[in-house]
Amino acid sequence: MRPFFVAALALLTLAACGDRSLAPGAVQGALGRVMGQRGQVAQPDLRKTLTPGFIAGFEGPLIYAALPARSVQAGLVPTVRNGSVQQWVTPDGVSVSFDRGVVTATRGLGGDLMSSDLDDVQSALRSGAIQGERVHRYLNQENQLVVRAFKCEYVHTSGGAAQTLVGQIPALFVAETCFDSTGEQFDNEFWVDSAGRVRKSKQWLGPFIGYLETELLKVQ
Amino acid sequence: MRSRIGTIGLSLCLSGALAASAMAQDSAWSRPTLGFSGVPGILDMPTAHSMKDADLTATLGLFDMTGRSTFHFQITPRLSGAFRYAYLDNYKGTGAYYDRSFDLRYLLMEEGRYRPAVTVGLQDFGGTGIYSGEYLVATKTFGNLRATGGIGWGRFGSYNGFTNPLGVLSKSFKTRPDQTGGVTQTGRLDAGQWFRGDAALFGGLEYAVNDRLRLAVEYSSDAYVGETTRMGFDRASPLNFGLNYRFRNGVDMRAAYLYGSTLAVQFSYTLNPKQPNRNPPVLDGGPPPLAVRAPGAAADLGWSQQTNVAGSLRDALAQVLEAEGLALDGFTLRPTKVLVRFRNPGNANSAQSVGRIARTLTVLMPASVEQFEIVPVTANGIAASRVVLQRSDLEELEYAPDGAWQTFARARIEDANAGSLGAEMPGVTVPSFTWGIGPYLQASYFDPDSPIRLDLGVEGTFRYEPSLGLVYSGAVQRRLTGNRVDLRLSGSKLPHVRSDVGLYAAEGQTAMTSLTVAKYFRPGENLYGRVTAGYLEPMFAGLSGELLWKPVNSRLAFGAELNYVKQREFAQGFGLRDYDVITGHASAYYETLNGFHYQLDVGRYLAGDWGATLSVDREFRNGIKVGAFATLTDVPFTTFGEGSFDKGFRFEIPLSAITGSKSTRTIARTIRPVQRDGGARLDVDGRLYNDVREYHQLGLQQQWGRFWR
Repeated sequence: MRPFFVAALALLTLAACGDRSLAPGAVQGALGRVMGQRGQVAQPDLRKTLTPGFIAGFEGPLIYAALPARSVQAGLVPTVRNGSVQQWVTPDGVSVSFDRGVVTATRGLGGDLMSSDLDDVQSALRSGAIQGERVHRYLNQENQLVVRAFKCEYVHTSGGAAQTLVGQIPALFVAETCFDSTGEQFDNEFWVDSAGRVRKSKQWLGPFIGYLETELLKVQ
Repeated sequence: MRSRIGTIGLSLCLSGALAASAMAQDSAWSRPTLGFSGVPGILDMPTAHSMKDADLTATLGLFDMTGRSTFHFQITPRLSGAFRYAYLDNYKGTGAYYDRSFDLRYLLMEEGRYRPAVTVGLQDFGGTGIYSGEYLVATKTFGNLRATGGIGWGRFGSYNGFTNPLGVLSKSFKTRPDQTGGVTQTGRLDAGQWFRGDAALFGGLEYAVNDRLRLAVEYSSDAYVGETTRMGFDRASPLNFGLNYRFRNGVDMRAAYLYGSTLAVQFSYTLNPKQPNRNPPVLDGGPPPLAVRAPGAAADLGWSQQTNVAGSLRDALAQVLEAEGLALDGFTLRPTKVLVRFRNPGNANSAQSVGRIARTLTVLMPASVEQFEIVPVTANGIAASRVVLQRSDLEELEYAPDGAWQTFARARIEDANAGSLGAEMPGVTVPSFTWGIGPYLQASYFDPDSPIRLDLGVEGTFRYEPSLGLVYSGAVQRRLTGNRVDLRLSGSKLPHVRSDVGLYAAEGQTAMTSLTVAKYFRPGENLYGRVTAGYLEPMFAGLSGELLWKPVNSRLAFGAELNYVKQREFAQGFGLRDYDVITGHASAYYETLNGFHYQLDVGRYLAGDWGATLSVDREFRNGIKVGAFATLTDVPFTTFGEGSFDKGFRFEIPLSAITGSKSTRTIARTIRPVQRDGGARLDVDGRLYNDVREYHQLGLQQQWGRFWR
């Protein structure tokens, strides 16, 4: 009798009053997420596939993106443009929206950057401003939008070049250092070419995402 | 002048430095530990600090001949409550004795630089009185050391007690009335005995070795009178020693040597509903894109001349919605407006569903369609509200920094019946037939012989909706194994409307738990209605009708329910017993902006008693709810029996809040210390209020951060 009750008590939380069919897979998945396990499958390095020949043969614009904190890489292709913001998506439905090269929103990453106010960042990249403010908005676990404001400083270094998968591109290097009142600090990097396009960047997107590294491989 | 400013400046710097060092040590004290009574305490005595707002803690402690399990909830930052279920060996004769008690604590004063935290507490204020006591306690932190001192009455005044200092207010404070009535006196508030009788002092010290380990020593004023006289508990010394180790995942482990005679061990787990897990918020996939129209394209109306455009758009929309986990319920297309009715079978977030439909419409609808009217429909076919959005606003605000709030401000949320458009083309939701087979687990709690009794079996259900709002449904259970049949027979003096649960479990091995036909409808603006007939629940069959008045932007709602039911036979087949009753309630519902929900139901209950129920719930925006209720009727406390009046607490935890990804499953439990026949309400499915308010203004507003997700 006793082992039965132990097992039954384990079922107590799962055999809830909701829908009646118990799908073992769903339960396993839920347990896995609660326990924090994630199946890690070793992926080949995408950078090796993206040779200059491959990129030349690829149809349409292409951005190489990587999330070092999650060991994830992807290629982004553009979808919808809304004003100055261009949305780029991965094959598995994650979208990253760039406002003239600076990430302004993401979807599908978990802990997404919901929206942001980046006017000062644009001034720094294009007009040489050395100080500014960034405002990010995230959802918390109560589905409320939480605002985080960062004070940022910019250092410009001209005459350099961006090392990308399509070779060296002469670009202005802008280093952005930001911090907020909770002690969060991050350092972003932008390489802006003569046409004003961000060729290469490293941008911090949030506490759950970390940095996003991008390289603009193909413009058209 | 200069030197004075200099001195002030210096003292400010010093105080700043002190404050900084105090804060650095605060991390060791970030959350109080819980004592063996399940409330913040040193070891067996309480402390004055409160847990973090909304902390929900479960504690299990064991020592010689006693086991205590407690649920503690920090209801507001100052007020907290606890429910304790204790096991005492041989307390009343031989064998196990189970005791239930409730506590309340209130933080009178927060700890400051110079003043201590002060809390007043009532222990076991409404139970059987074994743990009854009241206390006033103060705690002060000095770096890594925390000192607590307090004065207690009742159980806390039993060791080295002295004449009650409150005796100066009134002579009656000097004596404490005994518990005389036995079992039938249980469950009452006993306010007449609070803070009366001898008082005694208690205190203790806690030392934080690091932010995980704490050592504690205390002087206890609890003489364990009942335990020593009835159970042979050995209270050799008033001093207790112990340590507490805090793990990273919210679990605390405590080991102690109590009263010079027994080792004790305790585990506690703390969950805060505001932050139930460590995962990043919102793990489901991203939304469809928002298609932006070319400038001037909105003027082109040529598409409306083509034949069957509406039909093909409706089909495309139904397909996309299904991929999103939503179901198209109705569709109407005009040159500049579109109406979409949808249902949410996957229980996705309400505002997020509206947002995703809006995005889908921007992709599918021709450019001239400017106004989107999105009507959420409940699972039973009632249109709950109408959200009106302008396409240009969506295009403009997609990347606006404050886009979520601005979209909400520009959206109109109205009654579903208020607009000029009705659904002209049907969706895919009706007719529908669904069925399922799966395991079920049913529990009964706090039987005197066994804390929890379980039945495990297989359940088959079906649901047939031939036309909008007309629902046939039923469920059959087959018990495979369990011990609820061993529940004691009821000795209740009232009609046995709920207390024959043991007989129902015994004869209902195969039970038709419900078989009903129901109609859900909208009688008019702001009105919602339901009529249900058939075998409504395992114990009763009959007719049930409900009417709800709730304007979309109101936090106040009124409802009325009227039922005529007959008691069902124990075998839960088609037979009926003789007992019949007309029951009904008038209800008032009120939700506050900071997550508290109040409900007052006044009317006649199943045993024919008249009275009222007050329920208070704290609701978190991720769906987690914790609440308590109490019912007072014209049934005298002695006639009601053990417990004196119906009361309990309940919680609801959607699995999606704990794991972070979408799920329809919810863990919902209502726990009553005693299930008797007074204040019993009919348990009929499909009550309107909670389904409808999810899509009203306050419900959508609280979730609107998810609109753009």
